[in-house]
Amino acid sequence: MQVMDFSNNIVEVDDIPAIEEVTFKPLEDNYLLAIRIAFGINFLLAGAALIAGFVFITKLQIPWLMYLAGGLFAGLSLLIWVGNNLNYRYSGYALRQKDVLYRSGWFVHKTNVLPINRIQHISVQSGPIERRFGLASVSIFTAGGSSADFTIKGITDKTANQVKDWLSELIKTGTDEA
Amino acid sequence: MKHDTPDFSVPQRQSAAAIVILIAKSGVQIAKSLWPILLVTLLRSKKGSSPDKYLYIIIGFAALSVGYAIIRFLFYRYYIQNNSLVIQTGWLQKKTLSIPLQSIQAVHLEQNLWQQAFGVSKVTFDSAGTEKVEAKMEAINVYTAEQLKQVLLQYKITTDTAEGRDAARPPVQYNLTIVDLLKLSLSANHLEAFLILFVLSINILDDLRKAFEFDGWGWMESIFGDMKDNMVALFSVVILLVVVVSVGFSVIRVFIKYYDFKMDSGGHQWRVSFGLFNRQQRIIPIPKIQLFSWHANYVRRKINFWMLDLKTLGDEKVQPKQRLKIPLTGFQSAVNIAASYQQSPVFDPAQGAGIEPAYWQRRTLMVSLPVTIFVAAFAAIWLQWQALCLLALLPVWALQNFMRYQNFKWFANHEGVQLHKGLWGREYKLLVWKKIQQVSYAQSPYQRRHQLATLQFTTAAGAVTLPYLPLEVCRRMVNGVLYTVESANEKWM
Repeated sequence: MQVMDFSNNIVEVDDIPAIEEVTFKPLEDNYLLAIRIAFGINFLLAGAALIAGFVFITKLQIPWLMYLAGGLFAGLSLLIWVGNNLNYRYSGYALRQKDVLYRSGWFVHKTNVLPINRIQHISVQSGPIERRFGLASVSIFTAGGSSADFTIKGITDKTANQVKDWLSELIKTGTDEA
Repeated sequence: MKHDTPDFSVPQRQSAAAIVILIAKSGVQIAKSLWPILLVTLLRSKKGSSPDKYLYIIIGFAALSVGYAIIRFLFYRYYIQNNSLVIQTGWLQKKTLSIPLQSIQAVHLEQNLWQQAFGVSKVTFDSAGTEKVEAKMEAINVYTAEQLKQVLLQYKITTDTAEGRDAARPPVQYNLTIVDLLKLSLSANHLEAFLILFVLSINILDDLRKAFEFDGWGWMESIFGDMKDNMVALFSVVILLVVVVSVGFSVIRVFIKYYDFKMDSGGHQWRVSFGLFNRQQRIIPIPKIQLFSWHANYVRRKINFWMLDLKTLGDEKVQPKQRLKIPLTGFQSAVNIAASYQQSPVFDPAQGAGIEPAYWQRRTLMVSLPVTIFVAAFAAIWLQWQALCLLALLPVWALQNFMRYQNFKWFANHEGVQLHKGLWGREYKLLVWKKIQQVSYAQSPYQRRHQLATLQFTTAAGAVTLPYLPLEVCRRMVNGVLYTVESANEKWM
């Protein structure tokens, strides 16, 4: 009988790479400014629409309704502003030889880990505000679902393309050769 | 006609005919987005108003469609580079999509009448994942499309041949008898059957009144009106009628759907055929099964009748009602079939691990309590102080949460994880580690304070969630599972 090239070494549980030891790379400083600008634009547009609604639709000109809508708008805006800031501080990403990690969330902290050998494709995208600051996002897709598994936002355009190229190369050659 | 073989390493545009197809598509897309504005404009226009107005609207609409289509055409390019199909799209929002050739399962060329007229073909890809994004090509010259297909599929044939395939599994056969169909009918959801019938009856009575001026409601009132002096008899007749009709309807529905149900396995796939009038035959490739579960409501659990739910790739795009549910005449049948997915024996829930009691306590405090208060407060507007009775809902919901917590058991080993859960009914769920696409864990502020976490394993057809685990256990699971998935490099499909 021909003996195949086979090995079955013992794996010590303590030797398995631990997720708690990963150091996450924070998002770019410019990204906070970009999300604040995007928030500002949305705030102005939504505020203008609300004011226009009360000015042009006379049936809505009821004092308590106006105070309520104004209060809700202000409260919601404050919540989004604080949420954006906290989310920015907590968010980060890490690239390991065999997986990509991304953490986010300001209220509920969530950490996603995506094995590289499960990635189907990667896309890089940037909106007008992101481009103004030289930023981009990398979306990483696996099978199934209806959207990207996760999107690393707030990294430089150069880094985003480097990540995309590096991951694409790993998918093609197999993670073992990384 | 002789064609030059296209060089796919150089960025290519779609055929010029794509502009026409994109104009039509853009027109539909713009119409979908702007239809409220168009509708309001048309409705508000007075009779006799200038026809120029409509002409301007149509011209504006057409200009928008043409402009949008030209932009989409000009900024769309595709090429093959480093064994990846790269598609670049967008003008303001630029996007570069990179699909590794090894993940492309199949390439489809489609031609509708328009595409046939222009000698072009639509190209779509069966790649686990590409359907999520705009990865289709609207109009490629037929010859170029064929060449592209050959190039893309050649890569798959080469890699598949090199890697080989799993050994065939032993065959299993299974079918439903008339008695099984009766059991299935009697344990069905009769409330759902009754509601369907009720809505149908209202529509029929209404149609009869309109068509023949037949007063169906009056006719029913004349029959039941004679019994109004004897309320006990009236209630008994109505309840009996509802039960007989609902059960009868369920029996008919089940027989029409599952008549002559057969299931057998051959090699790498399950073949399922069923149906009385509309006979369906489905093939389920076993490697395509991502999650394996079977469940029973309270009645079915008592008569040992289970419904098998195979979550396969692409299931999330199918309506829940259209998904294939396989009736099983006993727990053991489910266990036997499960062996084709996970070789480890199905665990005994009594021996399984549980979750932290904070699960039911937090659910009660954060969900049940606010909902109870809201419902009671809302009801108080009409019922005054009697609405306080609704506060009795809280202990009922708390008890349900506690039962869910108690019934939630799980077991994990080197091959995968098994789950057992339910309130009155029960569900078993099996997941093999190699099917995992992504691992994630989340912590709410409460969970952070108490060192707890909710763990989730995502597959290509759904997820398995283990809520309220100790953080240490959660991390050990994440590390171990990632090691298994990443070191084995096994094919997940």
